[in-house]
Amino acid sequence: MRGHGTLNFEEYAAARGQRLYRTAYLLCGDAHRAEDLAQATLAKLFAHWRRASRMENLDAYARTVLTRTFLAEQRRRSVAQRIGVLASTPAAAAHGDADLRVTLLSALAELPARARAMVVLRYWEDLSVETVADLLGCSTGTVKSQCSRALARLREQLGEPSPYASA
Amino acid sequence: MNRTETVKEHDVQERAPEALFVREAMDRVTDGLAEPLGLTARAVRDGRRRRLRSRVAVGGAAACTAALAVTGIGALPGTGGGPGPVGVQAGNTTVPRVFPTVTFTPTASPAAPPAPLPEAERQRIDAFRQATARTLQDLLPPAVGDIRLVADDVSSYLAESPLGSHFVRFSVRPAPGAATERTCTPGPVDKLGTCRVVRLSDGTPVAVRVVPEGNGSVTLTMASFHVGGSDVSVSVSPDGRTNTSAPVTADQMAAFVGSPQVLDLVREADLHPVEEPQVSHNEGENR
Repeated sequence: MRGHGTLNFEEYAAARGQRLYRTAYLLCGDAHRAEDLAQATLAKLFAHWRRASRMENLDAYARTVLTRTFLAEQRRRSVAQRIGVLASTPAAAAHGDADLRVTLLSALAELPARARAMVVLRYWEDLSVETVADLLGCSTGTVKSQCSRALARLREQLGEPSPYASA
Repeated sequence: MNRTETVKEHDVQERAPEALFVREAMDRVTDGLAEPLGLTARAVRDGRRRRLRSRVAVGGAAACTAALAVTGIGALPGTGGGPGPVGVQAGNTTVPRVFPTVTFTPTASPAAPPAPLPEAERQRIDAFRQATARTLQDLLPPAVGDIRLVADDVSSYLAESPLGSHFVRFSVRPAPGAATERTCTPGPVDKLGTCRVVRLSDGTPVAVRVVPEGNGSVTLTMASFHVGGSDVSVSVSPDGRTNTSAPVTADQMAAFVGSPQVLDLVREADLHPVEEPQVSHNEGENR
């Protein structure tokens, strides 16, 4: 969906809220935090909607806001965890594809926040190396090496691809 | 590595079984997520709170600028009028946009605070800054966000968006006799960034630079030139807090400084300065 002056915030949020929520869930691994992240992202867009709605690619903009909100929040949580104010987040409770969910989220949770963001943006949002690098303010080489390492670790954690291959 | 190689590598990675496997796992894991109830309504409520907080935070200076606008002093030549000092806009029924002012806690400075300006002069400068803010808001890319005036610094503005806050400098400083030519110093791109000289419609050379800042992961975009008896410098800084480069490309900066609205503002400030004259340490010379 492209940004246009006439685009209504409620329409946009209704159409894209769920996708932002799913991305947030993969980033943070917790449904409640994901909801807060999606809400914060949409609230930031709302607060600047007049300008945000004129963005050439509003979806990309929203994704960038979400990722940076996640990374900023993650930094705050890390500090809080270091000083013992906050317990580290356990992996999400299992339901549905329970084993896969727990394994994937645990594997993602083991990655540093920026590497996790790279993996989610690269493989879930299907963004190019260049776009991810631009969004996270790092070089394409960093994205490639981090993604490659993260992918290897995820594969190790998740086991062989075949058991999870789609039906 | 060139673009073709990058694309090829991207394609290879996309086809890699691991990548497909991870993508599919992510799909399956998030497929079962129920849509959060009332997300939009909560975001609107939260967004309103953010907007309100942001407006409250900009401080009381907005009230002064609002008063100026109500009295019609916000109308400046350069945004539709002819050359000359600030005049009162009479009989105009459109309400002028008023850009709020944000105040930062000043750091300790050994210098004595400047003497207060006469009221008429202060109003003239405020009106000029409002017109500049309007031009920045209208002509810079939307990604810079909402423009505000920075209190106590006539050439500084703050651009705020959900992605970060960027200081914007719009300076027209009297510098009679300063060099009019602008050149690019050759040097390593990773240290000096990129630079090119473009020309305004009247042939005035403008140096447009994208300069690395901090550890080099973010960039500042700036343009500098000389008009009449003044040095002009326009820049958008990166946001160090969020590690975000200035959301303005060199092309966008060149287009901005070349626009008639900007040049009207520059000519106005050249004829009726709003800044103190250039000090002697040659700062900005030939930039």
